[in-house]
Amino acid sequence: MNRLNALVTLAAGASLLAGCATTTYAPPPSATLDYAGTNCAASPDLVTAISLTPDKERALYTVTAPAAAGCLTRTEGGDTPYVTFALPADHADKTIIVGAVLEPLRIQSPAVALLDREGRVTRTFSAEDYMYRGSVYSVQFRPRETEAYVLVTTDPARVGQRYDSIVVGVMTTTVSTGYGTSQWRSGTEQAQSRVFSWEGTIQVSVADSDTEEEGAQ
Amino acid sequence: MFKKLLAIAAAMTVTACASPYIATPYDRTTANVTTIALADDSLAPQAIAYEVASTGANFGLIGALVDAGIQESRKQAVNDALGTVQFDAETILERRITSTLTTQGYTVQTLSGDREKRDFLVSYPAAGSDAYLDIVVTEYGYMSSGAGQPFRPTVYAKVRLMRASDNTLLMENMILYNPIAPTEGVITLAPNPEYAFRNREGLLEDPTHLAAGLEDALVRVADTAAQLMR
Repeated sequence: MNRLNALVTLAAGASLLAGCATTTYAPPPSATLDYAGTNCAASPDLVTAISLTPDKERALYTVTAPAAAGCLTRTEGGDTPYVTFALPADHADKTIIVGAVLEPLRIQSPAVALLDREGRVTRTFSAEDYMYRGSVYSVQFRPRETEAYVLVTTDPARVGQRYDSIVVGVMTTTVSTGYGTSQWRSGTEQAQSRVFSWEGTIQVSVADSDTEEEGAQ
Repeated sequence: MFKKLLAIAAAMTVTACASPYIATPYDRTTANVTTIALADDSLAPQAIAYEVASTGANFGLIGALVDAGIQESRKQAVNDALGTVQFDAETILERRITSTLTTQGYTVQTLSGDREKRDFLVSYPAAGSDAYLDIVVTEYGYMSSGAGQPFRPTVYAKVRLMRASDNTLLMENMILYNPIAPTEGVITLAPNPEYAFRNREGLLEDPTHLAAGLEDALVRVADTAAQLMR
């Protein structure tokens, strides 16, 4: 009986607590303005590269990953977080966008390089090549025959800089009139401010212009 | 006009669930292009001055008809004001892209001839260049998202580069300055906060400032188009 009482009391207490509990939301991560890597490697680990080959042919395949999958010692000096992606073997019909997602408060400062099968750099992009494509600050390219990996590190030159933008849109509200409903459209405008960061989220989109070809991925 | 802007955005874009716009990136190393012929007649003759979610348009057919009159009157007044300062959008855009491409090492010549519609040309006149650069500004001018929101410059442009010898597409992209809809895969330029006008009276107050806002937007679009060919 004592045990039953204890269970009832526990259940009642739990339900009371549940009634009082409030959902807590974690604030979005803010910009990382300093970076001190540990166990930094001299060259990227290509074995752990994230595959950009989908399980089946898709017109668009998107992969996201944290920018800090590992730490790399830059040839220019200093350490940088990095993440690597393995390009699809059948690359001829692919168009690829690589960049940093515009998070609520931050944008990872991307530095994208393409590597060959041995990890040697085949192509880099200058600061002017990075553009805001929708919600991704990115570069766009088509892989060449010799290119096998995408390496994304952090460009320290941009870290701490602010990207301010104004986003306009239209909001539709449905109003009940008693006889029916009508829709009221009104304009919206939002000022946004983000800071370039050492860390953040990287997004890679692979567009395939020929999903019908045989035996290809 | 709202439907038109959305249709333009939708044609080039994508919302989160639909297929995004897939551009064709340029690879200068393999393209082997040094001389470019720039197609003429890049812009519509008149700028827009459009309030997207206007109050009048929310009041059925009568409201929409009244709203159309208000929108057209504002557009005419803005173009009249731009005329007083000899604003020439096409010259600004074409000169800027020509000078920027020249800086990047290209030799650029400008073709002449009007477009039948605001779209890429179907064929290009013989020019003796390696490639044709075709820039089409489908809309430009001032846009407010709705009643009470400021008018800001807006430019909807698409650009492509075609190899002259075999008509191969070398590059194609969309550039939207201050778009009304989210556009995954499309190059998006945020508006310059220096150019915001509270209403029609604000737009017409200082034609020089009015023109400067459009010039600033067109230059950024031209520079972006040139950057795609670095």
